[in-house]
Amino acid sequence: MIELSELEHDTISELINIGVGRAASSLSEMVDQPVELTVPRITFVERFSDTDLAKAPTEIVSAVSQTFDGPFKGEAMLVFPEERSLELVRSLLKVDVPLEALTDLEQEALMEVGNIILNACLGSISNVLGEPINCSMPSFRKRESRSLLDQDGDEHDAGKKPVLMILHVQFMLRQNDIDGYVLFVMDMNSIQMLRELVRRFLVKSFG
Amino acid sequence: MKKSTPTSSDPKATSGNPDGTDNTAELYAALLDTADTGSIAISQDGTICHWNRWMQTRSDLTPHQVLGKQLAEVFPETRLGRVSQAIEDCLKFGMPAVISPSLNQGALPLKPLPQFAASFDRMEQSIRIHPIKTSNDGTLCSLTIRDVTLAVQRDRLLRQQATELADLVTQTRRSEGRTRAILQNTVDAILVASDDGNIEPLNARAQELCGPEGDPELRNIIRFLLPDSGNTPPPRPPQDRILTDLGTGVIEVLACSPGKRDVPLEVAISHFSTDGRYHYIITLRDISQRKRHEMEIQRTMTELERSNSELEQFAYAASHDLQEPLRMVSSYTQLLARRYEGQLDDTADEFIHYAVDGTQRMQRMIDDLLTLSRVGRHGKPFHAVALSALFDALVTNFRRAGPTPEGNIIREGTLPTVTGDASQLLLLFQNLVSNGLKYSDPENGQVRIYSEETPNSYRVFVADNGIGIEEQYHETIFEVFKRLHGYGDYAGTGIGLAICKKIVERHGGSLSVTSTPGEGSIFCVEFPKELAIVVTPESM
Repeated sequence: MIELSELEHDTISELINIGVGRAASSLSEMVDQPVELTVPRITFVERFSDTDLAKAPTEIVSAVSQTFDGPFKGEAMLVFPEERSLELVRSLLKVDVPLEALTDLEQEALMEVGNIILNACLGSISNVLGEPINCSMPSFRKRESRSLLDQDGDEHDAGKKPVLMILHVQFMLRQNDIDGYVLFVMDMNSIQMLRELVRRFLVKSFG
Repeated sequence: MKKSTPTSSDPKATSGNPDGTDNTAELYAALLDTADTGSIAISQDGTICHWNRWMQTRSDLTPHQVLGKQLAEVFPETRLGRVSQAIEDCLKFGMPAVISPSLNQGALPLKPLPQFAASFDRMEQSIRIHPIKTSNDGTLCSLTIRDVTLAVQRDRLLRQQATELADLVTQTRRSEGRTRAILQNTVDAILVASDDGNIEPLNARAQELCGPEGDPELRNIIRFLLPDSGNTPPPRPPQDRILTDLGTGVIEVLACSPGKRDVPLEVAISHFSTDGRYHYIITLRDISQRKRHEMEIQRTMTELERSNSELEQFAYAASHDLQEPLRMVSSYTQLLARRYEGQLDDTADEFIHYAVDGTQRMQRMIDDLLTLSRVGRHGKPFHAVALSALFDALVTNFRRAGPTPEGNIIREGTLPTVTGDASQLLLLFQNLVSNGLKYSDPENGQVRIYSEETPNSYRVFVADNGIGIEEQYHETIFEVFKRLHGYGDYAGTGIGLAICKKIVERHGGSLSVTSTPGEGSIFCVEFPKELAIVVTPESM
């Protein structure tokens, strides 16, 4: 079980919000229309089955994923139900005639959006905590939500159950709101390290 | 690209390097130059430290022109853009980046390949930005640029076609909706039958008639009416359900839906073929109204025929039965006249004369009435009658009847041949001619007969130079017992023209008169060229 103090929770939320705010301004500039991004809720869960996404296990979701490595490591993901991802990309690209599925170019655009948001979140944490993080190139996944976290390499380590930090993200653009999720999937050691780093930062900042 | 000479004869020279050169950097540079992607490396201080051949070709800038400069110096427009930001994030935080063509059109000002130059000002690019850790713990930034112009072009085409398709679908739906509305709101029931015998109602009215609430037999009747497709023919429906004789072209059936009134329907069948199959369109029109009218007319006709025939029967019986006692009166008055003329006093002679005259007039009237009633009852079948020959016979009859001035009956030109009852036509013209002579000066009276042809009829004129008829009497002279003059002035029963009119009517024609009093009258008999169907010898 993860036990974060309110202050720690608020600090992490603040870091994430800084990053997301920066991502939103980048996106607005790129698509030449106002894009607002908010993170109304951050939750920590131990099992994927506890997440909102798991409520519709057979729903197809699109995910942009980047692994990260540093003092804490894991995988960061931007996840949308497939329909929402189509809506998002088409709102951003101002496409009027939707096709049935994401085209290659739309998929790449979604990857870029994910890349911008994930980079911003990770960059913000890394920057403020003063710890460099290495990130991988983003990759794209489309699958049923219940198998979202299945590793392609299939190395199940019973001792390393992942812990999830889930950000509920809302995109506000062109008159419609699109809800998605940012997932940080880390093992227990990593999350403890993150918490430790946050504590240190708080001590350093407030004495 | 630098080409090195392989020296495979010396195994030592190849150690570690397959192509025999020791210069690793040169090899990698050569490899990067052969790549079909753009490759740029940016050092920690933000200056360009590698620019491959692909970049040189597409940007028209040589490594010499760009190395050591910031990317924003080389391409000033990128200064505040996504690419510069991504490079900065990469160098500062080690963040990789994807730069997609959709969100960043022509991120770098590179030329498209010649085949795209017409539609693209710039190459569409997909860029990857990677951090590269160097051995001395620094970070380099590598940009890999792919040309995706072709993919963008395909995407545009796909969207354009999708738009066209969507428009087409919208248009088709709209027109389909319109067609459906028209079909649904048509008063007639419309069904379609395919060659497998399946009958499908197309609109609400058809559903009403052939659906579960409708006539359970109707589909079978329709199947029976469809041209035989070679399968086992459907059973003949009950006789009372098919209202018309098959083969006349008009098909009328009776729809009997339980709980509703029976509806007579006219069936029209047309066909079309689609997808190599034959379909019939069946239109059912409610003809209740028409049927009611037809029945009304039929009833009136029957009633008329009945009363007409009763009248004729009466006239015939009356005149026939009157003859018997009249003959007796007539015979004995004549006997009285012969035996006792001059033996009684003058007054008695006068009385006897009046009685004889009266019986003779009565006899003529009864004869004429009999003739009149026989026009309808004892008519002969119609044949072609040459009127010229008929007139010649007529003139001969007149000559035989008594002395008449030469040339008082003149036929002018040839008369047409008409279809009719020769003996009645003879009677007709005999009456008209004698009428003409009767009302003329006995010495100079002259009747001319001539004809003319119209598109639909023949007109035969009988013109006299007699006393003429006032216009007010032009209609009434054809009625029975109508006389314009006293019996003493002109003999006759007042039935002759009525007989004429009846004969003409039986022949489907018309009889009329034009006249100038004092100069003469012209009677016109008009015969239609085509006999109307109602005028058959049996119908009158």
